[in-house]
Amino acid sequence: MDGSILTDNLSSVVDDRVDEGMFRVDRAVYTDEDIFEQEVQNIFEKCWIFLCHEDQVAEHGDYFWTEIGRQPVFVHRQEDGSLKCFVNACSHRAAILTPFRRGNAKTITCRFHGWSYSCEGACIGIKNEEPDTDRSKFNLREIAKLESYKGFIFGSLSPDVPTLDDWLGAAKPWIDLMVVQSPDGLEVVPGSSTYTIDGNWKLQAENSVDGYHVSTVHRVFAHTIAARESKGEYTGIGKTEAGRIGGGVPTASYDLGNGHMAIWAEHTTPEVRPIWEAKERLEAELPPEQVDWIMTKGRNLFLFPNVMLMDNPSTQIRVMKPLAASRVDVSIYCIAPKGESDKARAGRLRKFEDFYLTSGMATSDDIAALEDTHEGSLARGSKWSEFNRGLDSITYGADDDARALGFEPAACTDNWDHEVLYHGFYRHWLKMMKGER
Amino acid sequence: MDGMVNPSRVHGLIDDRPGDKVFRVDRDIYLDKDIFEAEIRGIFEADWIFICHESQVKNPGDYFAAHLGRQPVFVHRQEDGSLKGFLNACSHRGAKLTPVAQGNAKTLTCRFHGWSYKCDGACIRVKDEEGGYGKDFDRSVYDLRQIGAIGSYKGFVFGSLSADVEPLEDFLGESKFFIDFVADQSAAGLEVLPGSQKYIIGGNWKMSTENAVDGYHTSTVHRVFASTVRQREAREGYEGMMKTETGRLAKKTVRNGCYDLGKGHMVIWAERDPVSTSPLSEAEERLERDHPTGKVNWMLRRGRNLIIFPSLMINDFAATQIRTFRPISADETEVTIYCLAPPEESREARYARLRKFEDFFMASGMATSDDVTALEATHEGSRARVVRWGEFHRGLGTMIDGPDDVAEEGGFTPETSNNSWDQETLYYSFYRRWRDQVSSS
Repeated sequence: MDGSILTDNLSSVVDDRVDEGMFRVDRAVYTDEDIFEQEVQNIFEKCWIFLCHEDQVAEHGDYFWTEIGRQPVFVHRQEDGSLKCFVNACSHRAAILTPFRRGNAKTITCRFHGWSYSCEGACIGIKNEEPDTDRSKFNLREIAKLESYKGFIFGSLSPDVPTLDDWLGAAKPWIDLMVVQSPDGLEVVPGSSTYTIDGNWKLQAENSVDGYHVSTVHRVFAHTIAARESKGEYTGIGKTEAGRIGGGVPTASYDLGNGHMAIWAEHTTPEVRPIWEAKERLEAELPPEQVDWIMTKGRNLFLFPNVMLMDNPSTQIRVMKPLAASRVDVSIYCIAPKGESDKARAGRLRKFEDFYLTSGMATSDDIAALEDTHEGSLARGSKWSEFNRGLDSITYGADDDARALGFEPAACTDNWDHEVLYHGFYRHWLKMMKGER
Repeated sequence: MDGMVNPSRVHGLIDDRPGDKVFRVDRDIYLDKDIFEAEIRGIFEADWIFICHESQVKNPGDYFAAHLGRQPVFVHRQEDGSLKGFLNACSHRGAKLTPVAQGNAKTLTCRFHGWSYKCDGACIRVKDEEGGYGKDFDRSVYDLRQIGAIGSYKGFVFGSLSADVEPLEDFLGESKFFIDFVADQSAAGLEVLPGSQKYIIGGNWKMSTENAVDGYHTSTVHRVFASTVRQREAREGYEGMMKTETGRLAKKTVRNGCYDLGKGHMVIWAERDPVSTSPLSEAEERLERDHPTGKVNWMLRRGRNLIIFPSLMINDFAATQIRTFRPISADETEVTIYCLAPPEESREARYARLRKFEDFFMASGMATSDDVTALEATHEGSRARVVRWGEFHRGLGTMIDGPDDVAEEGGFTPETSNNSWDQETLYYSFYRRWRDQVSSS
């Protein structure tokens, strides 16, 4: 399993003939271990990867441990307020240095043999040190690139990446829509949930911006919520807009370039959204087009290759970490505008729990669908997954809504049921898999 | 991990020299991941594999989900009573279609994006078809893909991913006699009783197949089962068919034997001791009336374990059972067990059958748990690569070509017969077929 046997055949797994009305992907991309190895090396270890939000490492000494591909790293807030990110392995014998996923330590001492490192990564203590030891040889290894976009921190193991600004490109105005909701920025609400799906990471990536499954997979969610809310216990911000799940409202999907994708669906009752209380303030501070996008469009944004930002019934960061061709770890965090009222926060959290938590009513259905799809993909006689929905309604470049917000997608369609946005994902996937930039 | 194995290497793994009193297999066959890939390709995804029993898909719309190798498939009973087998994957994005392993649905709707398929596999609905595709959308392109071949023999349904297989009855060969010895116990055909059990063994699938027809281990591995059951039955006054014939397990008091049935199929047998312990004994008169005595001797008076190549076990000893071994990796095997019974038997017989099924065969029972331990220990021991060979030459001196006297009574013609179920000569055609299919994958 050297991860290279497919190099010559890679193009054949993405059957990209849009001119002939065909875009399909060989289901081996989900199940083949060699392809997986190549994804880790050529995509996850060569790409900007979301690490954490600045709010999670706000104070000097705060650290956050995560993974780039399979490699453990941690972000550490420095005394001068800057950020560094290190490979999370003791220089002595490689033990993970951070005792928790998230914590505070001005110096970190390895729990195995007791070596210590300062916040800036300098090796400052070696237990029973020999005379004349040059400790600086054992300083922690920094990752190649670390940048932050409006609080969202990204890192890369490879120095050979575009600037973060260029990389995010047309996705930036979508991130801004979340960031500008509070003058004080966003906070990550304490607590998170991590679970493992027995399926390929790309199935979760696709699912992030798949409007077509909503009326099937989340039908029960919609019915349950509608029935519960009709009993009158839930009013105002407490309500979830369930009608949208049944369809019948304006929607759209975007290929944002660089493999990024997004969908939105119109909120017919924006007054149930936690942000509704800030409407007047936002109208006073922001351009009307941006306020309209924030208030009336529920949005799912997927940033290649593995993070999703969501502002639909609630707001969330969802991170996918590939473990094997057949397994992916997913971590979810509720993200919220700082300073919102207790009532809005309670509404946001309850709706976060309802839909996004593994113990909620929607994520559990998604997991079942994704695991079924992974298993079905093993039926090799049924080889292709098709992404042809909406081929007749492609607009290359911006539609009116995109122009209003000021971003330039590679392509878009007027329906979140469409699959055209995945073409950009798989084209970028193929490009990186082949080692092209 | 491309699963490429040099054919000459495969031939070297089976040291097949009975003339020199040698038959042994390289323990790599249990461990090697490339060999495992070649097995999946050359056997499990290329040949007849048992899927289910017809009683599990009795009515139109009944479906049963299973695997051929690693590929999910399902069998669907048609309006006209025939059976079709499909790959269990939606044509749209590949989601498995069956919501449960066994159920009824005249049309199957994918739970992911809502595409629907008729019982005959026709794609009959695409959610919001007009909103996603042009006018000339041809749904029939998305009909479900049928498996290569499906066939049924006396209620036992087999499928193959490849269409290039011999007729099912030719494949079954002499094992058909032993299927008959079970299936003909009821004029109405057997039924699989509700409920099943699945468990995973941390060991290679071939060890489970071997174990299914290994008489030699019973007096060691199942000694505790035998003495426990005997004590219990003495203390609590079990009578008639409630009794388990345990004497046979502890010491050789009755005649027994084994057959290499050819084509990789094999069987062990032992005289029942006494026949009255069998739930089928209540049907003795009917059986004698409907069948020749030579056959009734096999149906009623001898317990039997049958292996149909590569991974189906049909068992008629303490109770009656279908057991399948599904390879998950070189190191992992999923076992599924079902109790099989004649529908017309009395409540008393059914009760006895079920209790004895639980006692011996269930993962929570007293015998299977000991087998699992032995198989996992054997898998782990096989990693001691300094010791290369697993030996299968027990009984080479007493092996006879063709049938012995009791085979003649049953009317079947094995490749070889042997005078004790302790012997290992029955494994030869299994490993020869294995060698041929793995090396040609």
